[in-house]
Amino acid sequence: MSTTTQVDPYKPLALRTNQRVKLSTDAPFTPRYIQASLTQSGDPQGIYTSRVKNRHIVLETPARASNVQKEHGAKKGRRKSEKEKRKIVALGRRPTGAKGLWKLEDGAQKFDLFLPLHQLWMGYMSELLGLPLPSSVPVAEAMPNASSMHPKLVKADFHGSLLTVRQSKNPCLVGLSGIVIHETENAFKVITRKDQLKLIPKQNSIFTLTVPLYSTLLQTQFEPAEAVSSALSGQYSGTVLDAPHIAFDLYGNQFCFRSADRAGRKFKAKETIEL
Amino acid sequence: MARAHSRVMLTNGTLPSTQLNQFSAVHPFTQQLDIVFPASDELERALTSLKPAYYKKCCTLSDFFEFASNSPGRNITALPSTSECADTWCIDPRGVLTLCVSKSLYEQLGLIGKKLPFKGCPEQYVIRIPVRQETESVAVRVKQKAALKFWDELREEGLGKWKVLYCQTDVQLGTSESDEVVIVQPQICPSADILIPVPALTPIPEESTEDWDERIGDLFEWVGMACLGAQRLKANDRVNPYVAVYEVPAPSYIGDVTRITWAAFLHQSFVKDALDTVTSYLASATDKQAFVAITRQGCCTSPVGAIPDASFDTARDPPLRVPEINTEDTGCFILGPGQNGNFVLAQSIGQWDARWG
Repeated sequence: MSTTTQVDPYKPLALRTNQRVKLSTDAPFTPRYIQASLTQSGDPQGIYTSRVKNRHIVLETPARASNVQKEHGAKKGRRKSEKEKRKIVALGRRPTGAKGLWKLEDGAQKFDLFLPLHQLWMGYMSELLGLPLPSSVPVAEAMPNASSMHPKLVKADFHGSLLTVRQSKNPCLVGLSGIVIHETENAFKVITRKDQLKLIPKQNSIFTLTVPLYSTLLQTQFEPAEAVSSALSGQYSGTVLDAPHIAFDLYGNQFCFRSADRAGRKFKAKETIEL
Repeated sequence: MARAHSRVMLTNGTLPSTQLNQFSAVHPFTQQLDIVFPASDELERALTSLKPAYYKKCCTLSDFFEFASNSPGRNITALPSTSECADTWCIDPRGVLTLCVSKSLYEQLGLIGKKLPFKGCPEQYVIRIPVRQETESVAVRVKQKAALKFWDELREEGLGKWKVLYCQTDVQLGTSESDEVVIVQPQICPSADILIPVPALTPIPEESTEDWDERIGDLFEWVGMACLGAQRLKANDRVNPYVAVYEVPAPSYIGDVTRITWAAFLHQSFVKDALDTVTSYLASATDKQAFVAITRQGCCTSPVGAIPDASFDTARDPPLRVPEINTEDTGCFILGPGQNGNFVLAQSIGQWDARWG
C-alpha cells in the first residue's frame, strides 16, 4: 500500500451480492508487505526468510490470566483434591444405612441371641482385669483395687457389656438396661431384655457398668477358640448380674468418643461431673 | 372488688360470698388458724366445741401411697411433717400425689415432671401422680411405684421413714385405723381492757384508693397485734414514745377480746366449720360493733399452695410454688355483723408462687 493515496478502510467493499473475498495463499499478504517495507536493506527477501519467517514475535505483553480465571482454576484444583480425599475417608451415615452395615435383620432382634456375645465380653473383662477364679477367694475379700481397674476400663471395648442408665436429664431413659451391640461416638445401641433395640445418647446420662467379680473363663481355657466355642454352646446362660459383680459409674458426658479413639486417648480430670 | 398490691391482694364484699364458701376448699393445707373477736361466750363455746383431729403415721412413701390408693372414696389429705423443703411431697384432696424434688433426685427417679419456672430459687421439679389405681396404665403404675421405692431406699441410710400427718373425710375417728390420732386442743387467750376499733368494712364514696388502703391496713395491723397479744393494745398502755408509737384506728372503744388459736395440721373441713360457725354467729348478732377476724396460715412446706379450681378437676394442675420454710401464705378475713354483713379479705403470698400469675 503506498502512502500517497488515502485508503478508507471502513468503506464497504464494492462487492456484488453473494460474492466473497477470495484470499489466495500463493501470494500471501504479510510476506509481501514486510519485504516491501524493508526499503533500507539490500536484501529484503533474505532478511524476511532468516529473521521473520516462522518466528514468533511478541507484539505486546501477553494476555495474562485475569483474577477471575485464576480463582476458577484454583477452585477446580481444590475440588479435584477433595474428591480424591473423599474416596479414602470412612463411610458416613447415609451410605452406611443404605448399605445396611449396622442394621439388624428382622429375626435377629432377640436378647438371647446376644447372650453369647455378653459371655465373650465377660471373658474379655476377666482377662483384661485379671479377675480371680471363683473358688479361690471368698466374696468378702475378692474386691480388687478399683483404681487399678479404671485406666484399663476406660480404654476397654464395651461391645457386649450390660449397661444400665442410672441417672439422666431425660427421665424416660432412666432404668433402661441392655447389652451393647454397637457403640458410636455419641450413643450406645443396646438390646433390652424385652427384645427392643434402643439408642441411648451418651450425653447427659450416667450409666452403670457391671463387671464380674470373678473370672468367667474356665481354668483350662487358654485358647481363644475354646472360649468362643464354650460361649456359643451356652455354657452359662445368665448375665453379669446373676453372679457376684462390681458396678462402676460411667459418666456419659465425658465419654463421647469412638471406642477405637478411646484406646489411645488420655483422659484428663474435669472440674464438674454434674449432668 | 379486688385490688392487687405486689403480692398482697385485698378483696371486699358482702355475705353470702362464693369466695368465703370456697375458701377452705381452695386452701387444703392449713397449719394455723387464729380467730379474734370482742369477747362473746356464745361464740367461744361454739368454736371450742369444734374438735379438729389428724392422724400420725411413720412409714415409707411407697407404703403410704399403697395405703392411700387402697382407701376408696375417702379423700386423704397428707403432708410429711418435715422442715426440709428440698425433696418433699403432699397428697391433696383431689387425690393427687405431688412430689417436689431437687434436680439430682429428679434425674434418678425417671418420672416425667415439670421444672419450677421461678428465678432465684434452687432448681426443682414437680411430679404429679394420681393416687387412684385406675387412672394410669399398668406399666406406668409399675414405674411410679418403682421410683417411689427407689426414693425410700435412698432415704434409708439418711433421713429414714417419713413422719406423715394426714386427714381423711367421711371416716369416724378411731374406728379402723391403727395410727395415732391427735385431737388438736385450741389455745384460748382472753385479754381485758383492750382498745377495740369499730371496723368500717366498705369504702366511703369519696374515699381515694390510698385512703382506703391505709385505713384497711391499720385495721389488719390491729388484727395482727391482737393475734400476738401485743401490749400496745392495752387501754392503759403508756409506753415510752422512743420504744413504740402506736395508735388504734379510730373510732375505738375499750372492751375484752378473745383469741382462739389452733396450731396443728388442720383439715379443710374444720376451717369450713369454723367459718360457718362465725358467719352464723354474726348473722344473728345484734351488736352493730361486733366483728370477727380469722387468720389462716398455710403449710409452707407443701408443694401445693392453693387449688383455685374448686371443682377438683385433676386434668388442670394447681399453680406451682416453691416449698420454703419461711414463705408467706396467709389469708385474713374480717367479717362484720348482720345477715348480709360486709367482709374484707387480705391474702399475701410469697414471691415464688404462681397463684396470681
